[in-house]
Amino acid sequence: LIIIACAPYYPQQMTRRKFLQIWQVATGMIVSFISAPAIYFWQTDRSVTAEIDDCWIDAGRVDDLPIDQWREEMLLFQRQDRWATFEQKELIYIHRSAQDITVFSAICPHAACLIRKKDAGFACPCHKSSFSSDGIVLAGPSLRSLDRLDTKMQDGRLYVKYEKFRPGTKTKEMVG
Amino acid sequence: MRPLRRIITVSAIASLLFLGLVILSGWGLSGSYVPSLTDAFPATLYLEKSSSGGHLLRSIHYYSSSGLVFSGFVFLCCFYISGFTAKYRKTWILGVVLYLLIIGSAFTGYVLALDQNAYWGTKVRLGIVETVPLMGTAIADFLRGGATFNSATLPRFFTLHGSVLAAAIFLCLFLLIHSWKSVFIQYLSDQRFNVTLLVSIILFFILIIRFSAPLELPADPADVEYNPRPEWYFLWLFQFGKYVEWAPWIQSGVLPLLGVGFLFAVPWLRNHGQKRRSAIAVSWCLGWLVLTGLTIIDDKDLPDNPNYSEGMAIGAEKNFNRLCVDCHGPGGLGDGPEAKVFDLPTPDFTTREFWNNIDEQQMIIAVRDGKGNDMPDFGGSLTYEQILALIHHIEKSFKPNYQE
Repeated sequence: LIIIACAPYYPQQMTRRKFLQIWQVATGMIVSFISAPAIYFWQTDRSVTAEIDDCWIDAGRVDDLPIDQWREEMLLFQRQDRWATFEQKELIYIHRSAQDITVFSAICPHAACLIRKKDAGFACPCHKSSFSSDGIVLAGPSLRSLDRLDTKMQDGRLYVKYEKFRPGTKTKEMVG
Repeated sequence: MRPLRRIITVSAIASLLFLGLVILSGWGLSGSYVPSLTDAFPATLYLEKSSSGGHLLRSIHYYSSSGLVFSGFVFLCCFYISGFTAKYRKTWILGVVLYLLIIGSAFTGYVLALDQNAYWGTKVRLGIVETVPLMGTAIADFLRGGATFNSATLPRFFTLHGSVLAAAIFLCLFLLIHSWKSVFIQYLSDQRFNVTLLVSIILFFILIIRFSAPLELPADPADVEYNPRPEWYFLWLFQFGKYVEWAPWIQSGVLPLLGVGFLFAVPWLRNHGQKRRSAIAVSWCLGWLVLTGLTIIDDKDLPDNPNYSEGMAIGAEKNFNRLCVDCHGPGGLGDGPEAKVFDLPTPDFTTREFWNNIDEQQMIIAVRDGKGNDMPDFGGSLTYEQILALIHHIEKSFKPNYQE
């Protein structure tokens, strides 16, 4: 490559300065060429999120949930990430009314801190976002309301589809 | 002019010395470190507590990197004030690049211990990276290998810290030393200089032995109460971020662009004369000091995060109250409510007789595997370290005539 890059200059006078310039350009080209596979790999190798679809996590018996009351629940589950399996602990808030069940992820949609129950709604201690009991933003920097999680009931037990969403965005983008 | 030139030389040599110490201790540390989510903390704990020289290596690595950030800053500051920047453009640009690479190394190296501060601190930093306009999420995802902290994150940070950035630092260093070769040779052939250098290295080692690099409890992603705190040289950015919470791109986009752009443009800016340059440098330093001071004032009411030993002791007390009190009683007398109800032969921890008949190893086994039919086994719910801390708690609280 160096020879090809230098070729057009050969008939003329080849000064040391010119040679060094060409050499620098050629080295730059070679380095970026050989580092491309590594950068491509880092760019495309992402933790897997596809299998999460059939990942319903048991959150206990429906009848155990008090009616019209918020409950803090810790979900325990196994998570597969590339080659490794992890014990994962995630906090959720569950509310059961006469008709349906609402589940919020405890991860603040602003900067991924953990929100806490406060008065009638929720508040995030990190940047002072506050949310109503339906998860709507009342104050603070959060761009979207609390992330609601899908639920289903089977044989009297509540199953939650635990997903994580990208923090700090207006739309809910699932990331894992 | 004369004292300024001397500060520049001394800070350059100090930077080289610190850089050498950081690199060599880093090589030492990587001899027994694993960048994995499950093993990073145990490996660090092993280095700190169980290995023979790991503790010293960690201290050297930690304090030299701090020193490097400081001496590099002094060098750049004085070099700027001196006005050499126009004459030695290449040196200035290489110096700035080297400094940025060092800051990058500090950023990527922070997470490797994977204790509470490392995990949460890096989470905050990556959060700031995510707010970089246009390409923030792309950069953060590239570094993390995903949108959240995952099993590729530590290997990537480790590679950047120990190979990619280190190689770039070597390259810059080579070019810098190459262009100042004659000056270095002049210094190194001076007997007085060599003696001073040797004495300062020995002094640094003696100082370092008395201090240790911080290590907290292992990272717990579910700990809601934790407040991470950055190193002293990042405090100002942390404070600045609080004022521009409504527009985080100012902190992550505008500020770095202006700052770094200014540093790179310095050799080509109109030369104002030393007074003006000193005034600019001093006002930057004052701004830095004020912001850092404000963080310290802001944070003085926050409780200190416990280090590893303190955290384990607190955890041991909680574990005792949760797991042991029912039978052994709050005073360790063996008079807990369950022991009374079932009439169990629970021993009294406060007697000399109990401690004469048992050693630490036997106690570890008793807690881990249980004893007889009455004492349950806790090997499944407590780690070896937790069991050890629990036993120390019992010893400390109940053993007669206990001495550390």
